[in-house]
Amino acid sequence: MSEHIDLDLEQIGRTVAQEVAGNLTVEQAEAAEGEDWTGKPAYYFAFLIDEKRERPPGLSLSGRISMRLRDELAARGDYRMPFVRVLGHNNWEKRGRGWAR
Amino acid sequence: MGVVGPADLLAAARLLAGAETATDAHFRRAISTAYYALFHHVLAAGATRFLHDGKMDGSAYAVLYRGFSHGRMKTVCEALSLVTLSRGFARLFRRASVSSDMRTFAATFLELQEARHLADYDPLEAFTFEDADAFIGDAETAIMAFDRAESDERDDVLALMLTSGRG
Repeated sequence: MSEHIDLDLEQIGRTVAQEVAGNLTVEQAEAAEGEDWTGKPAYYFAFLIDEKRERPPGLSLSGRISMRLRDELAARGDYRMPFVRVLGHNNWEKRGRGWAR
Repeated sequence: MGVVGPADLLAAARLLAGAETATDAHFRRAISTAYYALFHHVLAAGATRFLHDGKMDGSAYAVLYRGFSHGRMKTVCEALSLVTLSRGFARLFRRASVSSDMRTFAATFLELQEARHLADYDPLEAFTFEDADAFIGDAETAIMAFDRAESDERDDVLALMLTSGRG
């Protein structure tokens, strides 16, 4: 379904994440190509965003960014799934190498 | 009968993630359990919908319940998570797109499914309370979004997930 398109993934991710995050700052963005659990090509994004607030009702920030990224990529003809992880300063360095690294 | 209740699974996931001495292992199990809460919610909805006599303790219910597969559900959710359905799915669904609630459900299902796989099998990843908390909340949100969708739309999705209909 997807064809390879040369995208500046990290920049697209950062832009979309910042739009969704609103007043919160996207301090770092990482993006990597990989394969999902079925071996299908997919994208893995990780964003450093300090939420520092109670979680509002509804989808998490990572869930909302993922949905917007899905739309953004599909609009460019790329149907790979974007999997998103949002971490704050406390956890950013704790993440392992399985996601977007 | 041992019904796997999504509410119980979500509660278990919260207990794991919120444990005072929670470690990576707790967060992994919490994420996996959050996915299964959503997964079993859909299975129960499907088995109940297509079994008209309401006999939840009968073999037919179990057969329907176990008729769902992770892979087929993924394929359907990939299609539903797009703003505009592919031509094949649009023909099957007789609509060009699905509701915002159904998109939220589908996109979250895919996120949770992938996270669950990494949590269960990837030794290189490390998970945190932040991850588990987000995935548990998203599982709950996806369950509510699925239930809010129009029943006709939900029926179509369940039928497609349960069969091997070509998209």
